[in-house]
Amino acid sequence: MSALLELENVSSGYGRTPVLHDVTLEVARGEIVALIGANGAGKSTLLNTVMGMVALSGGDIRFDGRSIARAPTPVIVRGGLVQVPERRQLFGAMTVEENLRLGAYVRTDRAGVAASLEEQFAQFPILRERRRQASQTLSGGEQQMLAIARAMMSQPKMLLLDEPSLGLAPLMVARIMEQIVALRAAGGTVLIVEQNARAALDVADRGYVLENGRVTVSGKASSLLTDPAVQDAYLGGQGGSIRAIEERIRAKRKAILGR
Amino acid sequence: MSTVASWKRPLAFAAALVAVAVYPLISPGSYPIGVGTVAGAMAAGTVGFVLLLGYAHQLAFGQAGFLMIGGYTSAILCVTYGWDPFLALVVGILLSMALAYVIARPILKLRGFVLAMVSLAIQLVLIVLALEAVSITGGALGTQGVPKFSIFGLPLGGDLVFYYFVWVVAFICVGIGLNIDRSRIGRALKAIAASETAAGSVGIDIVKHKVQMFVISAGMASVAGSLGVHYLRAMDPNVYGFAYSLNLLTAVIIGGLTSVWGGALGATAITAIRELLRSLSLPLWEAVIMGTLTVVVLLAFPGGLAGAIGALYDRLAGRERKGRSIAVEPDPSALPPLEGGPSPGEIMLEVEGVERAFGNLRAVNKVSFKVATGSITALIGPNGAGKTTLFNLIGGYQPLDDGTVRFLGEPIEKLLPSEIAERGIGRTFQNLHLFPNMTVLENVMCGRHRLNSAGILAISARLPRVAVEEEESRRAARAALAFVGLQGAEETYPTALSFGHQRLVEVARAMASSPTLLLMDEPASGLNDTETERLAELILRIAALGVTVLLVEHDMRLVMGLADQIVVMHHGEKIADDSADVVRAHPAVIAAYLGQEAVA
Repeated sequence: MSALLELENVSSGYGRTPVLHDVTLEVARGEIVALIGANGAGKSTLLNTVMGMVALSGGDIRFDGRSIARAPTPVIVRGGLVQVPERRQLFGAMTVEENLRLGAYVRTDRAGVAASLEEQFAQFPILRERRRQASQTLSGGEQQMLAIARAMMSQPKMLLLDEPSLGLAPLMVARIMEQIVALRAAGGTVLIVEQNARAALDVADRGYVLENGRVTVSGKASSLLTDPAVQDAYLGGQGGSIRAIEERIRAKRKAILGR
Repeated sequence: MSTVASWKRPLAFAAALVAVAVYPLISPGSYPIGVGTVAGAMAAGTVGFVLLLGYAHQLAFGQAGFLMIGGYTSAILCVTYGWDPFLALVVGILLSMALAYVIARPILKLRGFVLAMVSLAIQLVLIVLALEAVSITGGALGTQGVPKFSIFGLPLGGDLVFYYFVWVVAFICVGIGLNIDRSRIGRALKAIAASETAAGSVGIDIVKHKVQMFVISAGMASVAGSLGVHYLRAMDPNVYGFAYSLNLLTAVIIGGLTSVWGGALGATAITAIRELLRSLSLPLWEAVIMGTLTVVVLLAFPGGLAGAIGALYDRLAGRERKGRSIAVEPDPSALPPLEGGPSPGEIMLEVEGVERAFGNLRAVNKVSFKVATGSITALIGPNGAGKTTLFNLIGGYQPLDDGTVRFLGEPIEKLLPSEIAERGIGRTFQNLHLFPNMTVLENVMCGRHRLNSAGILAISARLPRVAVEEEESRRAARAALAFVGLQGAEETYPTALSFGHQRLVEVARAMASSPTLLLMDEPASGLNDTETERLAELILRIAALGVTVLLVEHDMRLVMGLADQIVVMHHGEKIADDSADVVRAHPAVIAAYLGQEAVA
């Protein structure tokens, strides 16, 4: 497998505040890679740097063999790298179908766009049902599906997903993750940034941990899930199963509230 | 606060005083002093306008209409009826403020550009009235022979004396503006400008404060109108026409909308430029040059002249903007336990048969549940189940179609969000609603709004009790920040904080209002497992103070671990309402929401 996206010693930040330091990371074709880290670790900055919305102060970014370190965002999108932003960022007052069609804004082949629309409706049947509905009336999970489908409308080579599970019910998180796996099965490549480290690592091939703007741990997703340091920091401690965290919260409740 | 920053205000005031005092000494003569007088009158008129436009974000296109009222009141009362000029000025203020109140009260409830258009229409009406009511106003020719200004017979006849008097008035206006700026009302205005939703959640009466600013801006504009007329010694419909309204707008925009000084600076700047162009005999180019200058100033200094000077001062004084704060352990003893209120176990909140439909979709369908005092209650359900809608109905953000919500036995479903907050219901939001235009400390101080009482008059005059109340608010806000573990972040702006810390600022803001009931909308969203556990502890500490908590949340570990009672919604209906263990095993809940995995 060849690398589709490569970050080499990337540094960037806002104004004089550096955020990322010497980040090296790669995503191979057909891979799901998870990027996890605490709030403020620089995960979103990394995505924004890749997309050309935050200027690089050092290093290089290559996509599909070419450097995109100095490329403006529209050029990067046309090159086939598309971001699904945090909190969906849909065009709320527009219908589902209008949102999808805007996703194909960079394409000029009308017949192809119509075919892609059908593909997305086949992939997400609920969106077909709601095609005439304003996107702001969809539930959180449906909105996330729409955000992904909208990104797919440009026929990207790779998707960057920023916090796709944010604000979603457990069942819906599982469904979104299934969709991400389905993307890979169809030959897609995905870099997923998540607070919900467990959900992301469950579906990812490999993972990177970002701490204070540096990659501190990387490896196979399965080995990150069992890495004690990763468990402590991001998975709610060792043996941090769903019940273990709940039990610890209950123990605190007994201690603090006495019930 | 650093000493350098606290010097900023007095230094600005001193610099302005010196500039105004020295100007006639270095450029004597009746013409330059006249120009200075005109600038001073305009400066007085802009202070209220900055508060209205820059702070309350309400645009008015016809602001010169109030200068017309002041101007005509002074001219007519002094010339036709021989009144004392000072009394006439006061009558003009009262008339302007009364008119502003009458117009603003109904229309400021509407959002958008209504005020902008209505104020324009009113100026138009005033101009036509001035032209047509010839017997009173003198029509197009106007009223001539306005006397020089005097106060109860004490003449301020000399040009120089009048110049100083006008600027004293302008400084009084600036002083009032500064007093409002650093008060609870100043913060309320900034809060309204940043997020009306969040402003309502801390009990800020949005319409009231917008109306106040419109009324104040009208009063100050009227003063400017009266003073100008006593300088010109005549009043006609062209003195304060649409061009003057536009000049006022230009003045506050190039002066800077985020500082009370902006209007005064802008008024001085555009008066000076206009006179300069006139002396160069380029009056026709005036519009072109003024327009170009406005664009250039805005491109070079987005904060206007006042913003640029402020930034320069900060740079010279070496006041740096702090970056991310250092996380500190929360201090659970920082806030006192809740006093009074019902005893634990009694019903605090009662939702009964609440319904809300959007078109054909029944978002909330006859939902009833009770929240016991001192409990932690969680509202869960799949996305689209109607939880957020129900939350918004309880908080007053949306009207309900049917049913009642009772808080401490009284129905609250017809109240505004600010009125609900006023009664002691605090709230945090899923998609953070902080005020990016204020420091973290000021954000949290906004939470104190409902507990403080200083009104607009006491604040304008900066009565001693206002300062006492401010100090108390500051202390309480610091305590709330310590409680959530954010000491050291007080002077930072929220946008410089990480997402997780911003969420804590919201919790601190809600806690600063000493709520009896705290509504939290998905507090754990966007937090990782370790942060979620810390949040759980914080919520427990809040409950330990005696505050009742109602939260919407998806994180099952948090909900199952924390909640005394869990209400489950699905398709707008309540499908379960019980303790964690019962809800966990409930077949309908598993099918709709949890999935088999969570049970395993």
